[in-house]
Amino acid sequence: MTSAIGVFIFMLLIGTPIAVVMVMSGLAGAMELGGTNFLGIIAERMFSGVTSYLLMAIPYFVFTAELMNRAGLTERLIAFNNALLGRIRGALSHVNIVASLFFSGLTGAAITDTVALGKILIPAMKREGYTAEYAAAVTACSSILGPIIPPSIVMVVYASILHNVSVLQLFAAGILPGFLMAAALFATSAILAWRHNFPRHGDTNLRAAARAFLPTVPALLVPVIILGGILAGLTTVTEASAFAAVYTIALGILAYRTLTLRGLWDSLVATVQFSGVVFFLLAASTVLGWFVTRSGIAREAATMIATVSKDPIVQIMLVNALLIVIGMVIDVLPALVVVAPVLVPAMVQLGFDPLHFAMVMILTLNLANITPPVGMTLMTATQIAGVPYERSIRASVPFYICHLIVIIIVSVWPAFVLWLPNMLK
Amino acid sequence: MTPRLARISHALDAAVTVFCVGCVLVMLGISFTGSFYMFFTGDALSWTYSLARLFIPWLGLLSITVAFRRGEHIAMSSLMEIVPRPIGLAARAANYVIVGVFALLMIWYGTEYAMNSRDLYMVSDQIQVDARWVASSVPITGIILLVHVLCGVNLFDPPSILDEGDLEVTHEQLVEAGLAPSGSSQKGASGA
Repeated sequence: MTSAIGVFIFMLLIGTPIAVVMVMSGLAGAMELGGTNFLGIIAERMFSGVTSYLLMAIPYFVFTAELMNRAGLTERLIAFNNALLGRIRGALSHVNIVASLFFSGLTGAAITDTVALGKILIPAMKREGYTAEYAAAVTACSSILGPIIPPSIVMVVYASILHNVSVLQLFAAGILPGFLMAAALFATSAILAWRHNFPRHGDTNLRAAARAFLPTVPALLVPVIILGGILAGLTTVTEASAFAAVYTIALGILAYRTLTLRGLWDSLVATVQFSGVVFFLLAASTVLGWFVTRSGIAREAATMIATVSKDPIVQIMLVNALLIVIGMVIDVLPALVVVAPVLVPAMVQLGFDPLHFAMVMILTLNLANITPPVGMTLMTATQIAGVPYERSIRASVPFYICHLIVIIIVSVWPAFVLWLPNMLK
Repeated sequence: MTPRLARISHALDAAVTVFCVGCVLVMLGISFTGSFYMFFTGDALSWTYSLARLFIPWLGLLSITVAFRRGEHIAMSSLMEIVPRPIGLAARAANYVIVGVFALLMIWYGTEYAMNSRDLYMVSDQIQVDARWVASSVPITGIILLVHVLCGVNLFDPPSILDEGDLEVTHEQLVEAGLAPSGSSQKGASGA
């Protein structure tokens, strides 16, 4: 085990791509267990890591998200929310959050949401007198609803590496925590708007809202197709995602008339590129996972957690703190594929429900998108806002607190996660 | 990297990208046909699942090289940005060696794995595909990765978080979003 950990830390520090780090440290551990005979697992494990039928949903979801961004949906969603929420103090701050909520059901990727919404809303917020750092903070902190509310690529990845929960259960489990998080963000935004006297627009114009809403209806059918089909048992996740991708192409070409051949090609190339990152992490996680399973690290982790406290609340809070620290230095997906094979069996062994812990883990690691030093989503929003990163971090503190409160609620109250999946059984 | 090596790496990447895009489209077509047929007839097409599964290892493994070629892979690079330049250069050289070794392992053990694959993919009673065709995606991925490494392609500098075009917002987009009056005309509002 020592050589695997040594290789892992050394390569991580010198900036080797994390997927390669996982493969090489897994191989180092395998060699420690059985010599060079075990090196052959690299081919067999990596191949089996990318053969699952479920994995086809990943390029389909990415493709749908790319198409949505090129179909001009963002402006329509903002217009609708602006017409609806314009009269409330801090209108654009609220519009940002609610538009992210809509987007999360369409794309499920935090950075995609940040770029799409941020490039329009951040300059508009600055013009209305919001500070640039607040505009960046609210955009980034609300974009992380994407991986929580289904469909979510993070959930597909989780279900692919750990077979103790289905992606269907995860999708159902994400709905309530996602809406709770949206409500908490909205409340935080309202308190800040009241404290800082943020501007409001004119009265709500229901006719304008309806006019703005109508063009968004065909796009908002995408999550209905995906979730409705899956939760009603009509389609599998892969089929639903394929259907959504084809529907979105038709929407972009026929309804919105914004999708060109060039746009279609660019979407496909971006899909291949992003899928490559995810598939590499998945393939590599099976090599490291092979070693983790055989080495008994998970058992030792469970014993270690149990030694600290027998109280399940203390145990899960301890793990949450560890996940937040990991998330500060590693991005969400690599963090998930590295720690899940160790922590999930350990927590299940301690008596936690696999689905409950899966959701807590996804929620907590999701914070990695916005926590310093490597919060990719916050960095993206900061770049759009043109403001120093540390100022955006300071402006994000109220939203960090709001996210932490949601994580604590979901951690100590499993029913919040399990109620809907149990209802759908 | 000499222009000749750059051309080789670029041409290889372009070919692999086209192949991967083809895989996505074929898989999408098959999956959509299957779900469409089931939705309207209530019956499942027996061959769609098996046929689509032939493409996912090819896409899954080859797309790794596409992402690699464009510096998209996630790494913890912050430490190397603050260390003295000689240490940074040494770490970079070490990373090329590590990725090269990784590619060689994929070629060596991948070839062994592919040659020893005895299974058959049953697309239908008549159509059966030898697993070697699918498993050979492992050594081929290794070869492509090794070519990029040997050509000296910059594999470790991540692209900017935002591409140049990402922040361009037109006046029409602002009007559509209800954030600008429709009357005035203004070209290319910048997001940043």
